[in-house]
Amino acid sequence: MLKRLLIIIFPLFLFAEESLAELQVFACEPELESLVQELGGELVTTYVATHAKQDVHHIQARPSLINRVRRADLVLCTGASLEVGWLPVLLQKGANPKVQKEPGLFLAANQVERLDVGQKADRSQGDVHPEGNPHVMLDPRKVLPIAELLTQRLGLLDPRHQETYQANFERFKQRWLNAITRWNELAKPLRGKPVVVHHQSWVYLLNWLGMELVATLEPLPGIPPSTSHLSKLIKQMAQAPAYTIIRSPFADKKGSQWLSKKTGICAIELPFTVGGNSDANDLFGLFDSTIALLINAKSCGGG
Amino acid sequence: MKKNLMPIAVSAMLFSGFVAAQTNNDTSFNPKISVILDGAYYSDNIDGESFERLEEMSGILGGHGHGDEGHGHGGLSRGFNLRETELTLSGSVDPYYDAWLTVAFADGEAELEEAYFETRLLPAGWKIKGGKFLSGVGYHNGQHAHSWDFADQNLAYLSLFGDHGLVDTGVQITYQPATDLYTLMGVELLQGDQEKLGASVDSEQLEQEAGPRLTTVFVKAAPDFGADHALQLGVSYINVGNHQEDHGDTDEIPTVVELLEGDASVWGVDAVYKKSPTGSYGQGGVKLQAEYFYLDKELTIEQASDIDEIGEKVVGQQDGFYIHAVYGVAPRWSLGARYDVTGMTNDLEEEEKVDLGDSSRMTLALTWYPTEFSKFRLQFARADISKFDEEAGTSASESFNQIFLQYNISLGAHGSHQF
Repeated sequence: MLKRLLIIIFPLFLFAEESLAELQVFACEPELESLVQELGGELVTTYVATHAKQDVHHIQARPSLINRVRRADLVLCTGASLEVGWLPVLLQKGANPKVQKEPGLFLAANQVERLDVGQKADRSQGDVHPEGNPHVMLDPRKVLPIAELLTQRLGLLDPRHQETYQANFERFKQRWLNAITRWNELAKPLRGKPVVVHHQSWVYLLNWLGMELVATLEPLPGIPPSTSHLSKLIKQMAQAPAYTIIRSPFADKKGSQWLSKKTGICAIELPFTVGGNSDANDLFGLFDSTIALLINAKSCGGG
Repeated sequence: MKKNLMPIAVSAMLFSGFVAAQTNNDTSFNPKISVILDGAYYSDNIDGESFERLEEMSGILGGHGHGDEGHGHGGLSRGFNLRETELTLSGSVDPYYDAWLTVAFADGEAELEEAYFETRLLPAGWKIKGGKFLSGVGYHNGQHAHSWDFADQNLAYLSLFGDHGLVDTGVQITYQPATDLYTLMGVELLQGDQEKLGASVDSEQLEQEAGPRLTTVFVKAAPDFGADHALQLGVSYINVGNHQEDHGDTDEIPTVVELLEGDASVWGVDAVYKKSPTGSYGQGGVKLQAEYFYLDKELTIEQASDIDEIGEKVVGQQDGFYIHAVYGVAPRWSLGARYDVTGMTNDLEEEEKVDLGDSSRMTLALTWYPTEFSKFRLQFARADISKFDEEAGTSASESFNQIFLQYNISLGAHGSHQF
């Protein structure tokens, strides 16, 4: 009797869970949402947990996010402890066995080699990531291997459309390689230029462009700029002026604007992720805008 | 319940030191370890007696000023106090379960606060939790003390559930449907052996019924208001099938015996709204939180030195409410304000109905958090606490001020930002 009941009920559950034709993707950050949209096109429905004005280190595991994880087929995040304060809660509370681990969980930073790996896990040094710096998507050369592995993952989760995903990837790859060539050409004058950043989130971009990080506004990662630290930076800039001061859309403007006023070095807000400014409406726009802003940064008069 | 767990805890501490000394990559099989240190400088304007006043605060639960002594974890002396030091171990047991253990140390004693496992891989939105855990009723009840926005428990919880809230041993089953609206439904079967509610009287003259004696049902719902706003609403119901109270007095000669038994129920509503910070380091963040609970109990005097009393009914109703707001006034600074009240209804009917009177408090708290791992809080409270005088049959209210300078430090694994 019970067995028969189960035979009737069980398919109902399956039906309820499988009734949505498209792959439901929960993306932690906008640049990852943009990437999966490039690869999945019409076949994926995306939801992004954060926006460019938010500091992704500090996100509340709010119920609506839990609800989206509950309904997701794929959870696509950066990893490397970037979302350590909230993603584990979402996965734990989401009650969704599909996304607890691979293949339903895809962590972008784990797919490529990271910079600054093996820092001592010592909080007296601020908000450090022993797994390496997580902001890998700011190096367009790393975006490609991530895209390729994500394509394979989409094909694994949705085998019926494997060929479409592959074709989307090939198209994206071609456009992306062309774009990299274009950006490399444009960014040539930036090579070797010294920069000051607000937070240690730009290492991949600077590494790609061959720019040199000479100082951070935060005395330690995650600790807000202090007056004494900023005064030190003024002295440092007087001796060896930087080309520009970079901050993200969610960083406090005050520190970088103050230093800019005191030193005459241009302070710029780079989009950091998709949606970070009106030009960065997808991954291509993100880098187009970033390069353009960096090149125009010299017009402030500084270095 | 309180056993001396010190040896276990000390070895766990040593173990944690050992793990911390290792390099970071190879600890994935070890549980995550965190230690919360909490202490306060405290003072009040009634010669340090405010915690006694709070203990004697008039309410329909428990005895009249002869409750379990030593249970008042919130009780501080004027001057420096070490409050609870918590050791938490958590992690995945295997692909199927997570487990969590919290031991709290206070006054040289260790107490198991929580020890439970929780499923990870049940299909279709189901989860099961088993062990000793903070009940899912209300909103504040599930928050660990180190993440509270104030240094002490609000009066509604303090009077109806106790200093730690509703924490008990049993099973919790929750279901979260895959709907557009976040909905969580939960049922708990609990032993009913905790601070305020349940069969907690230790007497040979009163037998305990077999557990589980306490059942809860709760529903939470949260619409999606985008990345910057969050709202959650909840309804809870608690049924205590076997509730016992000891109204005896061992100080009197001859000893007065009065043991009661019956049932009790509580229903409650909760709401929380949060606005994400607009600036960095928490500036501009808003949190608004409010809860209301209504308790109803119906007891019979089972044993009494005055034989005529046996079989008499004792019924009572009491409610409690709090509302608080926290605002990120500057980077790394937040300001909180709280109004909490208990006993707006506070009726106890034995031979005749008496109003035990209400107690309320206003609290302001200024918190500085250098990082998410540490905070320092200056808290000021003005309380009006009622005490019921049984001889006179009236309640009188006394006002006093309290001041806390609290530190709360979290060492070890990265704590999660639970909603």
